[in-house]
Amino acid sequence: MSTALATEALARRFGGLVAVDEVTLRLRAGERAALIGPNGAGKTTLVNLLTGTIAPSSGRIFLEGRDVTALPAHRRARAGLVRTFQIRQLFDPLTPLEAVMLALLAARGRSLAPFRRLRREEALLEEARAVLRSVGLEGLRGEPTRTLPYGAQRLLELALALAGRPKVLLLDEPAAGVLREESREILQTIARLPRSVTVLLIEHDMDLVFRFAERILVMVQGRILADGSPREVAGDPRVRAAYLGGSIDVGG
Amino acid sequence: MADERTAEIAVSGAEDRAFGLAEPAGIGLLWAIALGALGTAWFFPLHLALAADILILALFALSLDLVLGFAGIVSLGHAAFFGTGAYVAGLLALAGWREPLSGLLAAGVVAGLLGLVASFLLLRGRDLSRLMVTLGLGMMLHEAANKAAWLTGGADGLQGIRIDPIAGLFAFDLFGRTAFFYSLSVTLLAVALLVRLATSPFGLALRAIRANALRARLLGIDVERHLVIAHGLGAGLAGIAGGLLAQTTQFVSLDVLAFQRSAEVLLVLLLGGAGNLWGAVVGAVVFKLAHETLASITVHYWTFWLGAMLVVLVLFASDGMTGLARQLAHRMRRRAGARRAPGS
Ligand SMILES: Nc1ncnc2c1ncn2[C@@H]1O[C@H](COP(=O)(O)OP(=O)(O)OP(=O)(O)O)[C@@H](O)[C@H]1O
Ligand SMILES: [Mg+2]
Repeated sequence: MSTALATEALARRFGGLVAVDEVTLRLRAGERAALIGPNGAGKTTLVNLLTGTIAPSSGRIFLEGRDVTALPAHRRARAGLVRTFQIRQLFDPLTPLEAVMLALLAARGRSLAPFRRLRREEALLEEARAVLRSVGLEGLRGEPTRTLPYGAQRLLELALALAGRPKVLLLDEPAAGVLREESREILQTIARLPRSVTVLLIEHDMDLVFRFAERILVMVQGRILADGSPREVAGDPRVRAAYLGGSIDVGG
Repeated sequence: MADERTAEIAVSGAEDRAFGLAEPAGIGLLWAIALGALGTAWFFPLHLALAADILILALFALSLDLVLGFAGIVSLGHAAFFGTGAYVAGLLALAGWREPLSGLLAAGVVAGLLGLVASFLLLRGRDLSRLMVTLGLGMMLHEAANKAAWLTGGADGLQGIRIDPIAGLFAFDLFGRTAFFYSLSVTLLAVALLVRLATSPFGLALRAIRANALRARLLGIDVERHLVIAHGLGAGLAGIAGGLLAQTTQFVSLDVLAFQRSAEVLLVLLLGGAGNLWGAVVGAVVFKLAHETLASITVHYWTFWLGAMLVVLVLFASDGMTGLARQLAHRMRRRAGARRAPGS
């Protein structure tokens, strides 16, 4: 199977701290993988490196075989490397419809059009409504983002990523801080994505992880400690010792 | 049945509000300016000079609205572009190029190019550093114009500017009638352009960048490119405002580049409210009228009242007068809604 995303000895140091330590990994196209690890393991830093928000200290990144290490963040996003944020990153004054419209335009490199009229982009408007419908937000599309309930904001975060025409979707704790019911809903939306999208999910809730992932990567202190099927990882004594604390419910 | 219909209307109403500056609001602004200006010309024919003054200030504030209100670039040196436009228009006329429209276009182009170049200094850093850089650039240009007296006339300014009739038909007259209609036409054209821009993908992208540049970047938006273009356009419009002042008053003095002018236009925009185009125009009208009234009552205390206005603004209406109006409208709608609810 072809490789969607790969890294080669990717590393990032913050002063004396090695947040990401020579990580080499390969995500196959269409894969459903999860990245787990204790707080401060370097998961978000890895996503930041992959998407270009911070520069690596060393190592390389490949998107569909192409070296994107030097590509600026917006070009990587346009190439289909799309992420969500662990901590709310939204456009407060914009409505969900506006934000999703922007995501659609940006993914097509069409945001720099000063004389086009937004209202005339009927095909895109229709698509934006469809994206909002797919995450159950169509009823709130005209409200400013800052007035939306927290759960709806998490769904909007997801909607923005989906609108970005992802080839590889990096989801950094998409259900962080939402009620259990809502986190199910978010996971279901992710599970419904077509296989043309490769997904890497970062999540602390093991129940959700084992329900979703075909493959689990365990990160501890900046390194990938284990990498395998859920069964293999759950049975790995090093993982139990380092992270799971010996008690793990494989969810069935 | 009835309930379904109200729901339908509510949804399409939400849809209408779904594009920050809705097109109807923009077209409303065009009408408001046209009717307001023509009404002034009809009822106060002796105050055309003041009306033209207001229009030029409104245009200048609109150009800053693009830079600050839309792109979110804080500037304390916007007069640099206004002044550049004024000098370009003035110098062209003195050099013998007296055709007004091409002169005005040249003022906008030169100021816009300067704005493009300057914008690369504004990409790094956040609000405070941008404030300092724009302040510094403005001061440098002001001082340079002061020293280059061979070109700018120094403290004496550019005098004896003569401008040909507009389109060969309308000569500039003593009553300021031509100046007024010329300023009105240019302002309306600029507003139409800005409304178009504000309701375009580019306008949406700018508002998104202002709200969260990191997120915008990670959606695939080339943030720097958008900011450079917005700043260039804003500078160009400021140059046109400056050129308009030079052509209509037929005089350019050093204070077109002064810090006071940068601070004043910022105050005008904040007074009216940034980011919705209406605010720039409302701010210019209120500011100039307040100046006229207060200065005629208490000559020396204008700056006192100006300061008071600033304090009141920040404390009670941080979104300016248009923000205040929107809040009131929102509250009234809610009250009306609450009154209707028990019956339905
Ligand atoms: N910009 C930064 N500057 C300095 N240190 C940083 C920076 N970003 C992250 N770190 C450090 O790098 C380490 C890894 O952080 P990271 O946020 O990647 O962990 P994480 O696995 O995402 O944790 P969590 O599960 O809590 O989200 C932490 O020790 C963190 O303090
Ligand atoms: Mg994290």
